[in-house]
Amino acid sequence: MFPYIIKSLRHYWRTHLAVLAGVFVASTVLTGALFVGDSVKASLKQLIEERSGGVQAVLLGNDRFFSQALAAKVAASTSATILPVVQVQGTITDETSTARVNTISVIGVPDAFWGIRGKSASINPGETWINKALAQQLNVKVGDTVIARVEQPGAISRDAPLSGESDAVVPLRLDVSKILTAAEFGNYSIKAEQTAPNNLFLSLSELAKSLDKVGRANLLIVQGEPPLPDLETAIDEAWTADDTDLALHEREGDWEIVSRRVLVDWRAEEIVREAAPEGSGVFTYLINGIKASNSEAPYSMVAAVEPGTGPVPQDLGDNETVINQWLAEDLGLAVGDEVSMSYNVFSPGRKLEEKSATFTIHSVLPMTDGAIHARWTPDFPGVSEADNCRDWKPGIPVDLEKIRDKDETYWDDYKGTPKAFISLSAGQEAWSNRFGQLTSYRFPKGFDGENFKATLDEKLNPAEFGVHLIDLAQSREQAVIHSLDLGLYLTALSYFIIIAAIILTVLLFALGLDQRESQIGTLRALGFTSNFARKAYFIEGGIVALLGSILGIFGGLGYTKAMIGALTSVWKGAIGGLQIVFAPSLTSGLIGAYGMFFMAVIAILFATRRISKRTPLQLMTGAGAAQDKQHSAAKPLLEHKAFWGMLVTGLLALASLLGGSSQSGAMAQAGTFFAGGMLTLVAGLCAASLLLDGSHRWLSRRHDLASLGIRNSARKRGRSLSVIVIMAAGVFMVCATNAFRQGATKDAGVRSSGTGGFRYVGESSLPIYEDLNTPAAKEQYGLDDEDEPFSMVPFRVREGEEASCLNLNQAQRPRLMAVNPESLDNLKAFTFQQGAGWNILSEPLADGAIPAIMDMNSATYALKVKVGDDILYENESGKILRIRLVGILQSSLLQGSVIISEDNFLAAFPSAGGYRYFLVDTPAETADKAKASLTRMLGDWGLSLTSSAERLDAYNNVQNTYLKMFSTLGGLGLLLGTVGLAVVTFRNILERRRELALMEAVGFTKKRLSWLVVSEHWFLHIIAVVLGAVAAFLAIYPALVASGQELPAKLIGTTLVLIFLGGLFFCWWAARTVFKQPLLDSLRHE
Amino acid sequence: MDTKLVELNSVSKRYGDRVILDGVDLTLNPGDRLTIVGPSGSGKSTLLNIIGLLDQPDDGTYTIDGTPTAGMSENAKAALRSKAIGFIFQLHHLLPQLSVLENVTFPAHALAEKPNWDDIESRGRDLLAKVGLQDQESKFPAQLSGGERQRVAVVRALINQPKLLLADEPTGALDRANADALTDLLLKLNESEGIALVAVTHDASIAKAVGSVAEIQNGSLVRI
Repeated sequence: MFPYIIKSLRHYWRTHLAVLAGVFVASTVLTGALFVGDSVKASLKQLIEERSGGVQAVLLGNDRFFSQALAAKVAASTSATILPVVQVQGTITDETSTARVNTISVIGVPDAFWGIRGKSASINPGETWINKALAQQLNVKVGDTVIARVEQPGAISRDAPLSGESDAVVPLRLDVSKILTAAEFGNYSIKAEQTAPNNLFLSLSELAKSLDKVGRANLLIVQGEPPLPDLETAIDEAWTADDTDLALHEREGDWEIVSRRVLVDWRAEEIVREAAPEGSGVFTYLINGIKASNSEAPYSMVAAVEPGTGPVPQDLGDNETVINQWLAEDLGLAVGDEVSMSYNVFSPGRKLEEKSATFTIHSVLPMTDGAIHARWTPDFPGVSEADNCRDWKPGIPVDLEKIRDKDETYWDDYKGTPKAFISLSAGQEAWSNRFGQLTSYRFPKGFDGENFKATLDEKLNPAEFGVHLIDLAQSREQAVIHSLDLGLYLTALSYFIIIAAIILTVLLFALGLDQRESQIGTLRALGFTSNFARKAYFIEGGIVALLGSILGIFGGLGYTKAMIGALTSVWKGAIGGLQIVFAPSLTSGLIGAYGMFFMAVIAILFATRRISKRTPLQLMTGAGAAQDKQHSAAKPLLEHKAFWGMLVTGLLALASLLGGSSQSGAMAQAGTFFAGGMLTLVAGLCAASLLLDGSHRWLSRRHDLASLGIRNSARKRGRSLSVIVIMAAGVFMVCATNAFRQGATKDAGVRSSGTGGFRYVGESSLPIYEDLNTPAAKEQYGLDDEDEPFSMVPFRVREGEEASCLNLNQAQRPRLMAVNPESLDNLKAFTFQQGAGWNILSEPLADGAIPAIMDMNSATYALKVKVGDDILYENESGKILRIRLVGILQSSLLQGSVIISEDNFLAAFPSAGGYRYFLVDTPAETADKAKASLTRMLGDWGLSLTSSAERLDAYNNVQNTYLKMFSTLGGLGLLLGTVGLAVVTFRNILERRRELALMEAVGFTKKRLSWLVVSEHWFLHIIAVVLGAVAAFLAIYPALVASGQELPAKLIGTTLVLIFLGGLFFCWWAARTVFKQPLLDSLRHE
Repeated sequence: MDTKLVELNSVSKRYGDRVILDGVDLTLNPGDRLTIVGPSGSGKSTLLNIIGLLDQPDDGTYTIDGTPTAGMSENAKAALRSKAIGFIFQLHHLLPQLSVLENVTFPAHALAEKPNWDDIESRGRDLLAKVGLQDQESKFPAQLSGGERQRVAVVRALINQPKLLLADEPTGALDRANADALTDLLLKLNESEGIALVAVTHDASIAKAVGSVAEIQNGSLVRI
C-alpha cells in the first residue's frame, strides 16, 4: 500500500499541495496563537523577574515602621541577605513644577540594594536615581533637580485624634544623578503588574531622616533562598517590642509601656495585659475644656486610670473625677462640685464631633502630690514638643483666643500634667477608638522591667501587627501561571479562521477525491476492499496533514512575529503596553501541530467516508456522486420543514428583537438582540432553503443563462446551503462582534451607567484624611464651593494589585477599596448585575465574612470569582479576613478592586488612614474649573482627576481591542471561506463536466458556460453575504444605539466588500480555470 | 461432478419500473467464451456487472466457481473478484501515478494471501512480453498510446490468474487496428491460460472472432 500512497502523493502533488496549504494555514494560526501566548507569558515572567528577580521574600510593614536592626538580626540567624528599605508613595515635579507625576514610589535603599543586580553602590546625600519611565514622564536628565513630596508618616494614623496635623507633607529636593534602566533594577517593584513603576531612589538614611524615621524601615528585602518557615521563625524571634512601636522603660522608678503610635494597639494591650496582669492601663486625652458653672479651663490633659492606681482612689466612680489643685483654684472648685468635660472624637474623614461628660469632684490633690506629674501624658504629636500652648498643632482646631496666660504658665511649669483624673472605664467609654484605648500601661513599684522585656519580645509577633512576610518568589510564579492566557484568547479569537481553514482542507481533500473517483472504483473493481481504498486515501491525506501541521509550526513563528507586531502597535490596547519578547516554546509548537493534525485527520476521515458508501460502478462512472435533487411535483409550502423552521425561528427572532427593547441594562439588551440576530440568521437560512427548492418553479419561465445557473444551485441543495451557512455565519459573526464594543461617552451622566454618573475619578498619591464634602475641609484646602461646587464619594484604599483587564497578571493581592455604602446607594449609582444594591455591604454575614462587591469584569475575568466566593486577605492583626463576594456590578469604572464597606475596612485595618480614590460630581458648566481647582489645591497630595468616561473607556479599550482582533481574524477566515466557495465551484463543475461538454458540443461558448456556472455560485454568495449582514445589523444595532457608539461602518464595510469581492473573484477564477480544460474529452469518454 | 464457473439462474434486474434483465439463465465452464451483444440500454453491461460482482440481481441466483453470491458481503465479493475475476473496461482506468509494471502487478495487493512479489513481477513481465510491451514496463500510462494502455489493462486483469475475464466494450476506445490486435490477444489468452472470457461489445468483429454470441432481447439472454 505504501508505495502506492507515496506514488499517489507524488503524482497528485498539486491537489495535495492545496490540502497542505489549508492545513498549513490552520496550523500556522493555531500554533501561532499558542506561541503568542508563550511570548506573553515569557514577557510577563521576564518583566516580573526584571522588577523583583533575586528578591525571595519581603517583610511588608506598609505604614508600620520597625527597626532597621531587625534586618541584621534576621540575617544573622539565616543564610539570607536581608536589606532594610523605606518605601513610601509620593508625587514629584521637576524644579519648575511644569511637569508632575502624581504616583511615584519613593524608595530609600541601602548600598547593598544595588548588589541584588550588580555591585553595591551608593547614592549621595541630596541626590536621587530615578528610573527611565519616570525620567521620561518628567522629561528630566542627569543633573536636573526634582522635588518629590511624601507624607510624613504619623506616629499613628492621621485619622486618629491627637495624631497631629493631617497635611504633613515633606518636600524632598533632589538632584538626579543617574537614570536607571530596567536592567539596572530601575523598575524594581514587588507588584505583579506590567505597567512600569515610577521609582525614585535615594539613600535609606536620607529618606529615613527626612521622614523622621531614623533607624527605622517599613520593608525588609530577603535575598537568598532560606526556607520560608525558617525565615518566619527567625523574624518572629528577632521581632521586639521596639519593632511594634512599644517602649518599655523606667521613668523615675516607675516602669511603663508606651507606644510611639501614641495609642497602644488593641492587640498589644491584650498581649501586655496577659503577660503582666499586675500592670494598669492609662488613657490620657487632650480635652477641649473643663467647664465649671461660670468658668472654663481650655485644652487640658485628663488621664483615665484604673481606680486604686496613681492618684485615683479605689472607690472612684465612673462619674467622679480627681482634680489637681491648679484646676481647683482656676475654676474655684471644691469636692462635690460638678464639672463638664468637652472633648472631640473623630468619625471617618476626620469629622470632628464634640461630646461632653459631667463628673463630680471626688477629691483635689495638691500639685506637690507625687501622683501629679507629666508622665501620665504620652508624647502627643504637635503638642508635647511645643514650647507653649499657642504652638500646639494637635490635629484638631485649637481656638487660640481661649488660651489664657495662666494656661501658658501651666504648660511652662507642668507641661502635660493632667489637670483631672477619671476612671479608666469612664475614659475608655468616652475616647476609645479603633486605634486603641490606652496611652500607656504602668507597672507597680518593684516591677522587674528588665526581665519583662525579654518576655514581651517573645510574645510579640509581627504578623499580629499587620507586618507580613510575603513569599515573592511564589507570588511571581503564581502571577505568571495565572496570568491572562493570551494564547487561549487568541486561539478562541482565531476559531473562525481555523474552522474556515479546516473546512477548506476538507473541501480541497474532497475535491482531490472527486478527481480520483474512477480510480477508487477501479481499485474496488479489481478486488480491493473499500477499507483498503479508504485506508490508503486516509493515510495519504494524513501524511499531507502531518506535513502541513509540522510546517505550520514554522508558519506559526512568522505568524507570532506578525501578531507581536500588531499587539505592540494597532492592538496594543489588548496587552496594556507590555513589550512582548518573541519566546515560542517547542511544547506549544507540538501541541498546536498535533491539535491541527488531529482536527485535519478527523476532517479527512469524514471526507473519506463516502468511499465506502458508493459502489465501484458508481465511482467508476461518476454516477451517484452526490445525488442531484430530483425535482418532483411542487410540494405544498406547509409540507416543507424549512417553512416551519423559518416560521418558528422568525417569530422567535421577532420576539427577541421586540423584547430586547424592554430589557434594562445594555448588556442584557445586547444579549437579547444578539440572540434575535442569530435567530434571524437561522430563519433566513430556512428561507434560502425554500428559495432554492422553489427556484425551478419561480424561474421556470425565464430562459436566460443566469436563471438556469440559479436553478442549478438547487441541484445540490445541501452543498449550496452549506456554502450559505458558512459564509452567512462568518459574515454575521464578524459583523455582529461589534455589538460588544463598548463606549462610555453617551450615558456617562446617567447614574445607572458604568460611570455611576460621576464626572471625574480622582486618585491621590497621599491619603487625604478630611471629608472634602464638608465646608470645613473645603475651607482648609482653599476650595471654592460656590463658584466651583463639587461633591465626592471618597474611598479608602488598601494597596494591592490591579485586578482588571489592564493587568495581564492575575492579581495575587487585589487592591481593596472601602466606601460608605449609603453614599452610593442614595445616588443609586451603577447597575448591579447580581446583588441588591450598595447597602448589602453593611449587612453582616452569619459566619463573620465581610461582604464585598466587584465589577463584573474584574470578578469574572481577572479574579475568576463569582457571588458567594471568598477572597482571603490578612487583617492588620494577621488574622485571615474572608471577604465574600455578594454583589457584582455591570461593567463599570470600579474595575480593578474589591470593594467593602468603610466600617468593615476600618475594623480590619484600623491603622489605615485617609482616602485615596474619589468619585466626583460637579455641574458640567463648572466642571473644568472645579477640576483645575481640586488638582491645584491638592497637588501636593498628588490628586489627579480623570474624566470618568475616559477611565471607563480605558477599560473598554481592552475589550474593544479583542473585538477588533476577532473582526480582523474572522475577516481573514472569511476570505479563506471564499476560497472554499471556489473549491465548491470546482467540484460542481467537475461533476457536471459532461453536461457542460454537451452544451459546448451543441454550441454554447465557454464564456457563456462560464457565466452559467458563475451566476449559480455568485447567487449563493450574494444570499450568504446579504443574509449574514442583515442578521448582524439587527443584532448589533440596538447595542450600538445603547452604547452611543457610531456604527463602525468603515470596518464592517471594508470587511463586507472584501468578502463580497473575494467571493465573486474566486468563483470566477475557479470557473475560468476549469473551462481552460477541454470539456469535449469528457463527452468522448461517455 | 464438474463445478460450473458461472451459473446464473432466473436472474432479474430492474431499475425502477424498467425491467433490464428478466429471468436470465447462463452457465459458463472454465475456458468458455461468450460475446454478449445487444442495443444500448438492453442490459449487457448490467449482466456483465452482475457476473463480475459489481452489481447484484434483484431476483434469481448467481453462483461463481461453486460459491453462491447471495448475501455475500462487499468484502467477500472484493476478495472473490481479486482472485477469480479479471476486468477489462472500455476505458483502461490505469492509475496514472504508477508505472506500467506497477499498474500490472497492483491487483496482487488485493489478494488475501500475501503473494511472492518476485513471482508476481516475473509474471507481470511475462504477460507484458506476451502483449508486446516488454520494453514499456517503466513507463507511465500517460506515455503510452491508447492501444498500449488497453493492453496494459488486459495484463492487469490477468495478473492474479483469474478464472474469468470480463471485458466491457474492450475495444470501444480503440481504432480498428488496435481493436483487432486486442481481440486476438484476448482469444490467445483464453486459449493459453484457459480463462473463461465474457465480452460485452457492439463490435461485430469481436463477436465474430469469439464465436459464441448471445443477445439480450427484452431482458432475456438469447444464444444466436
